[in-house]
Amino acid sequence: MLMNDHPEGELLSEDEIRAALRVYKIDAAVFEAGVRARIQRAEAERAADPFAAAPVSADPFIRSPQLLRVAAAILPLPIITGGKATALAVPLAHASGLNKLLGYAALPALSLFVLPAAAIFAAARIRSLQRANAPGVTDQQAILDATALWARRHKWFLHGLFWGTLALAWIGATSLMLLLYLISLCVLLYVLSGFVKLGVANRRVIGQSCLMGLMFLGQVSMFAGIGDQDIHFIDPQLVAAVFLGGVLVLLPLVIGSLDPFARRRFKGSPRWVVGGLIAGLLTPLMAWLMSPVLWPATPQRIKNHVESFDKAPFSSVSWRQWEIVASWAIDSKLDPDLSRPRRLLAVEIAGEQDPYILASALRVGLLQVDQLGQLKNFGARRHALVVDTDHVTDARPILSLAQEEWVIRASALRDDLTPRDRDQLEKRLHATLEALAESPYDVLETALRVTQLLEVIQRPIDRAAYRDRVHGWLRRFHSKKGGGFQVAGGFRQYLNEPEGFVERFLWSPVGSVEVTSYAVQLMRIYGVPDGLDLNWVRSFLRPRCSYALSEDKWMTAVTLDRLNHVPGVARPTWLAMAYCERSLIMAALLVALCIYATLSSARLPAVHDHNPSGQE
Amino acid sequence: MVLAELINTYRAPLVGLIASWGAPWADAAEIAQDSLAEAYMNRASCRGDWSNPHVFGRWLRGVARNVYRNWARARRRRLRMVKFDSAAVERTVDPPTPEPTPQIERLRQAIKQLPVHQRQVVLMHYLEDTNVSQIALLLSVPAKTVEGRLYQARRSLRRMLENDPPATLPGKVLICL
Repeated sequence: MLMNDHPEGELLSEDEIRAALRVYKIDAAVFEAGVRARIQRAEAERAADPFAAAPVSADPFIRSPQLLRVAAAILPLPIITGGKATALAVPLAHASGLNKLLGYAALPALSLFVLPAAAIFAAARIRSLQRANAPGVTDQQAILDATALWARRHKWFLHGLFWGTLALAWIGATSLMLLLYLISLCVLLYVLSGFVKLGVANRRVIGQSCLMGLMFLGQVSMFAGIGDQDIHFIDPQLVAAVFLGGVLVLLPLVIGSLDPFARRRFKGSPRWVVGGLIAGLLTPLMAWLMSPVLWPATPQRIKNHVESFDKAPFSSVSWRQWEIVASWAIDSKLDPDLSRPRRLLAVEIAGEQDPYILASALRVGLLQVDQLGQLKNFGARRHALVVDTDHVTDARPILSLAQEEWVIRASALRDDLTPRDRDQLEKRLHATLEALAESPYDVLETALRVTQLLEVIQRPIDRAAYRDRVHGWLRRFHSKKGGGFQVAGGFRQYLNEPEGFVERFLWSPVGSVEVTSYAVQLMRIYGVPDGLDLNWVRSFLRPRCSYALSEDKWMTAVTLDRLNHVPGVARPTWLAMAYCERSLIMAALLVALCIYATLSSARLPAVHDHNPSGQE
Repeated sequence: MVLAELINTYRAPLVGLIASWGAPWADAAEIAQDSLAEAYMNRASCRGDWSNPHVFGRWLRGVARNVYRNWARARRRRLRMVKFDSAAVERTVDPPTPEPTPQIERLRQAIKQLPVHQRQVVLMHYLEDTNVSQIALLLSVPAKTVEGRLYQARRSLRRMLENDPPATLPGKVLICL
């Protein structure tokens, strides 16, 4: 009797408890038979398992490293082994702590690479086999079931991974996301290559997994706005091109897996048809993504672009954008043939005579002295601007400098400005500059125009006197915020910050290529302001595939060149460039790892290729 | 240690242990069979010498815990997917039992309300009068601890049967002290 030193009266009788539990008593023989039947069944499954027959070991996992065993317990084995093995084949991993953590580290890559591949290829295979009325559906169904089961078991993890990936891409921490995937893929590849050595996994499984994962990452990289909020010297869309390039390399290695996708539609060699279709879709896409590298804005191309300007679809805007590129070509002594732009200008002079277009033409020296006589209202406007006998407008700013600029330039071209006229214009231009102090609009462009016009009328500005003010404007109008597919790092045209908290949060003060071009020209005159990281500006001006068909391609190229030739400005070091392009480097590493894993698995003893119909 | 010996040693306490976690008796027996089979098949993965009863007992309990968790998870999923009266199904699966007397029924309810440590040892011990030392092996605790828990359980059951069990949690805790 228990606890004999205590009074039995306090305790319930043991017989009563036995009586209450008697009905639940187990039949020992039935119980033992049940256990033995289970063991027999499992041993039969194990005997039919490729592991058991594998030459490397009767039970490879027993002697495999601890991490492999843990991974084997965590990973869905039917997927990795093509339905040939189940968890029964693997002794339960009795590991914890660091080993388990390392095993779980493979899960992000697993869920990204292996699961979609297994699900998609298995489903396609099932459909194909069902159509062919061939055996082997069971194994493929096992893969599909194992995928679903594994996804159900780890659904919280998968949810977290999905939303985490999207969140990291959304907030601009793409490099962190890629780093995590890279680490995870390294662990997964270690595990998979370990399985290959044990004769468990095969090349096709690894190739399929890598192909699907790279395809997914390529799509995410293309659409997630990668790099809009970071400094990059190369278009981050190249990351997508690298991923898709990896897909193209892996495609021939897993071409046999494509049969189930096309057997019904294509006779003969469906895998090559589907493979060709995929390659045919990916190649032009990659070419577009790589356009900044394949078709860069070289001086010769810039010259050709300047010379080909024979229509202005957006009127003065087209002229202004062309002028930025043309002035660089002229300054760089490329000696472009401007006959076509001159013809276009002649049409404009014969017609509307837009003051903005005239100003652009005068700035690049397109307008000749003999054409000045054709300009309407030149005399009257010059008189209103310069002649002021009553000294009424003496020190007043020029309210619309962009509209009046051509008058001043044309007057200077005719060389008919008297010293008094020049003095008055100087005063008014200085007053215009002074009036910019609190203006939220077009400050940088106006400051540049005033500075240039003072040079034109031979009253050069005192740069030292205005340097601090111009530097203040440059800092104030510089934006490090991207958004809405716009890149950070440019200079803004307006400072119209909204007042509400939510509005300010949603507000995206992105820069403009034109204004950035003016800002760079100001920096060439006044120097680079302290505290302004030029790498942001370089990042804004980087070649982008989205610029491939627009004027921005040429404007950013020439502005970047101007920036790099600002006196005293140092180019970024290779180390800084490598740091900023870490996403690209990691993407390349990821692709290299995938290709290596797939190629290296071919040389290792592979399990029987799982193809019941006997076709490769 | 041969398989038959293992089964005889751990059969009853294992079923009792699994029942104490909340599995119906019929399922508890199935889970126990699964656990014993799996633990035996994978005994090479057991840390330490599996033929040592202390080592195998701990190993078996861990395997049983995992199998039970998988079963419980699958059961929850089934319940979510198909709305049915699980109690009715479990009654159908359970072997037919004679109608219990009101006293026995009351005692069974009282056992269900015992704290988990006390309920465990009661079910493990009294199902087939398993030796206390065998229970201790499976629970990885000293035999004296098992004895102490059994004593407390019997005392709690006496109190619960003499007085109506309190409905509130603090009351239930107090009556078992």
